[in-house]
Amino acid sequence: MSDITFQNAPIWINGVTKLASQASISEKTTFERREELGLQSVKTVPTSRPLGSFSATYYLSDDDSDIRGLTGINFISGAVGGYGFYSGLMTTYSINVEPNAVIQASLAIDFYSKINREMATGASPTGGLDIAHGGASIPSGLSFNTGMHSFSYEISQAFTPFFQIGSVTGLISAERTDGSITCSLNGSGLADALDSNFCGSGSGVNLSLRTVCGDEIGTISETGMQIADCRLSLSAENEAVGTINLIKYF
Amino acid sequence: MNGRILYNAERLFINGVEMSGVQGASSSLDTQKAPLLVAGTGFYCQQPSGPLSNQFSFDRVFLANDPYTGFLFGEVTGYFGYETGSNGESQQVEFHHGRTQTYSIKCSVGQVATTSVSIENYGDFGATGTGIILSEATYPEVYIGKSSDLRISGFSEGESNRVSSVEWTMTIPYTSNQTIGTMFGPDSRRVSTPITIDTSISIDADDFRQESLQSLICDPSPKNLKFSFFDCGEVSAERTFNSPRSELKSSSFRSEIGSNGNLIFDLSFRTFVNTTGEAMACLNGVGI
Repeated sequence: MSDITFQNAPIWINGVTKLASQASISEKTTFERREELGLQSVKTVPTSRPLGSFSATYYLSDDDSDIRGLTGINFISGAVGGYGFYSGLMTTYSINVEPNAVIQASLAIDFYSKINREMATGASPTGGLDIAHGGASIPSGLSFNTGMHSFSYEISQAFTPFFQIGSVTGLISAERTDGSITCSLNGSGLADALDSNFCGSGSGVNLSLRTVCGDEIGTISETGMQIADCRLSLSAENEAVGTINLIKYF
Repeated sequence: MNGRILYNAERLFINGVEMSGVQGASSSLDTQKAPLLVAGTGFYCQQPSGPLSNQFSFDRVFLANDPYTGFLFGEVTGYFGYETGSNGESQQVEFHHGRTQTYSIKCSVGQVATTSVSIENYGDFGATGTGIILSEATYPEVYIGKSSDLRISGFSEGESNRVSSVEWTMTIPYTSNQTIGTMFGPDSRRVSTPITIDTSISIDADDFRQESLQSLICDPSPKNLKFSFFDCGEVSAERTFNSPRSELKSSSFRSEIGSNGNLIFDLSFRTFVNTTGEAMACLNGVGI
């Protein structure tokens, strides 16, 4: 394989090339020191199965529903340049929105296959895609949604994998043991959230993803989000800023 | 095309009020774009990566009854128009969410006093509307400050020493409140405090004594500086500026063989006020 550079190593997930600003792929296992009675030598023995990790950060050019929909047992394949994996499960997915910055999503996947060094390189990103930008995107849904300084959205999952005896990487199946969606809102217009009574059926949160010139390229909506905590912060240089964290389990 | 556009075909309006006595104006516009790099391609496109912040500044002869002082602490709109046709057609540079950063008055021996304003605008900027028809400017009679009309008090023990120039500058800081989805729209910046008032004085030294650094820090002896413009010996001042509780911040001296060949001290005083009301009192020469 020729040298891998940022310019010749497209990032793809489930066959779709992403506009990635960074990515990494790794695999690891753990060992422990093992001594035995009567032996002078020390053995190094593995204590876990190999586990692969993949992470990427990429610019949003649509609502990213193909990735956000990968909750539960949805096995994923992906690659960084020609190095790829199969049998991946999404552990975290997040979107961060700030007023004057391009919107990026971050994705983390645990995979239970070996890194495949002969993976297809994938297509280079095609030009001309619209990019979501915090300068025109609009979070909404809460009654106190004005003056927002930042907005973040995160899916988090945990899994227990089941392996086959006699195989190093022979994943049989997996079970999801935890799953949550959290949103964090921060801004001067959120101080009213402090009178939240933590009751009710939950709030809806929406994010209209728009280009810098205001064209909508997708929406992200969640219902039934519960306010988990809210706070008001004050500092010498800034006006009072409110923070609200919402959560929903699935 | 009319060829070059000369100064007499240019007009400046702030908050709808035409600014008189304007000697020069300048602006800059920056899209704040940065390259977006993506894996597999490298450069992909350009996108704004910061707040759309633009500068506008102008200089004028000092006017005792300057209408701009009423706009200092609020959001200002600006319109700089210039005639492009023989029938009064015009183009313009506009801004709608400006905030005054600095307001200063400068006066030196033998010069007409001048005022400088710098404005920072957030959001859209440029020819955002349609040109208006400019009519010939008509101004009310105004008092223009001259160095011969300036009196200084509070400096040194009396009104001693030979002040050759003075500059009074108010710097207004803001708390930026950039919010999601409002890149081209209004922001809700607020004046943050303290507001800084700097006073720079140049003197042709005779008996001036340079205090030591230690005494300036440990015994700063704040001064209530006051500058008043009197019109041709009138009893009451046309306009007064205060710098209460000013402490000497820095000083330097120059000695060179030149037209005057004398020793010159440049003194810089600084004070802070906590409210816009106090700042206005300083601007209006009222004690605080």
